[in-house]
Amino acid sequence: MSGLLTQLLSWKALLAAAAVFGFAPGAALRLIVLAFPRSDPRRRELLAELRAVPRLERPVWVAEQLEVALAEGVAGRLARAWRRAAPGRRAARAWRREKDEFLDARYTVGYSLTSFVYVVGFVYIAVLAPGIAKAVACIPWLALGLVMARIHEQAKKRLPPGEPLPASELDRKVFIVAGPAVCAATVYLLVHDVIELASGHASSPGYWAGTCLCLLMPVTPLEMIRMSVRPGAAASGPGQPAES
Amino acid sequence: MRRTNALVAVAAGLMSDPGGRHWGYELSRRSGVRSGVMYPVLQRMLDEGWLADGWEDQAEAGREKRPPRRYYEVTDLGRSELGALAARARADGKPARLAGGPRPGWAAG
Repeated sequence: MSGLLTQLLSWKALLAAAAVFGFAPGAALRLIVLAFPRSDPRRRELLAELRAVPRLERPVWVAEQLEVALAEGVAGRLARAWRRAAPGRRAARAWRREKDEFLDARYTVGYSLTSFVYVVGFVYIAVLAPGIAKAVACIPWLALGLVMARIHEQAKKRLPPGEPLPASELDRKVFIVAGPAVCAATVYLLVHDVIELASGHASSPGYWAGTCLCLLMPVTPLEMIRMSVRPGAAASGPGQPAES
Repeated sequence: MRRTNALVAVAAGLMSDPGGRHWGYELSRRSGVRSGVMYPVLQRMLDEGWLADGWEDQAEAGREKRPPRRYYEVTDLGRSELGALAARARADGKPARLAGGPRPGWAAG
């Protein structure tokens, strides 16, 4: 605050204000009134009123108009822009409502969980997993990620609600192959970490965290399989997820 | 409309000559309200229908080589509303400036 006051009271700022409002109040006012919308009569009014103001009072009067322009012109423009965007906002809300009906809580929570475990598991595999496990787990893990992203995208597009989640035959094949592969890699990682910890070769927090994460990693394929089967979806045909 | 000192002062300024035309700067001087505050008040009065606005004749302004100015006139509705405001201010014992009394050093016209 004191810095601001110092700036305001400095001779340079005073000189600049005097130059702007004192020597060229008309030019400054022309710039100031641009803050009002084009249709606002205040634009013409203020420019015309300037001639009625005595010359000595003009700098102060113009500075006052800056206050009005900022308070009313800019605020008015923002309010109008907000109002203009109202139909777009309503459409976006309606779109979200439609999607929310489809993306029910079961799916959304499931997807959040799988996404979280997926990202953490990926970091674990890429950073901490030993060589063989890294090679074994990476490919099925990536495949699961791709399928998960695809299902999510399809689910967002898909309407109307109440239909099974869009897990295709290919998705289910990926679950069937990649799911067990991830589970196997996870078991290997778990055993490896336990042996390392037990033998005392590794006792860093990273290993402990990795071991805990290993227990979570199967959540991703299992949760995806669970999500692809809707409650009450007894019949399974083409495009319908199979019972796991 | 919320009754502020600025509103009362502008109302008093307008009611000092209820049948005449009022110009922004003169009204600001007469009411003693800064123009930064007065214009929003005038806009509210216009919205309420207490005032009507118009533009000075082009030819008249052209003779003085200046752009035409915007003027404000008090409507019939405004006359009763603004009159009541000024009267209430006088009854409340507001300063002369707010209640429509003459301002020192200012000749209304």
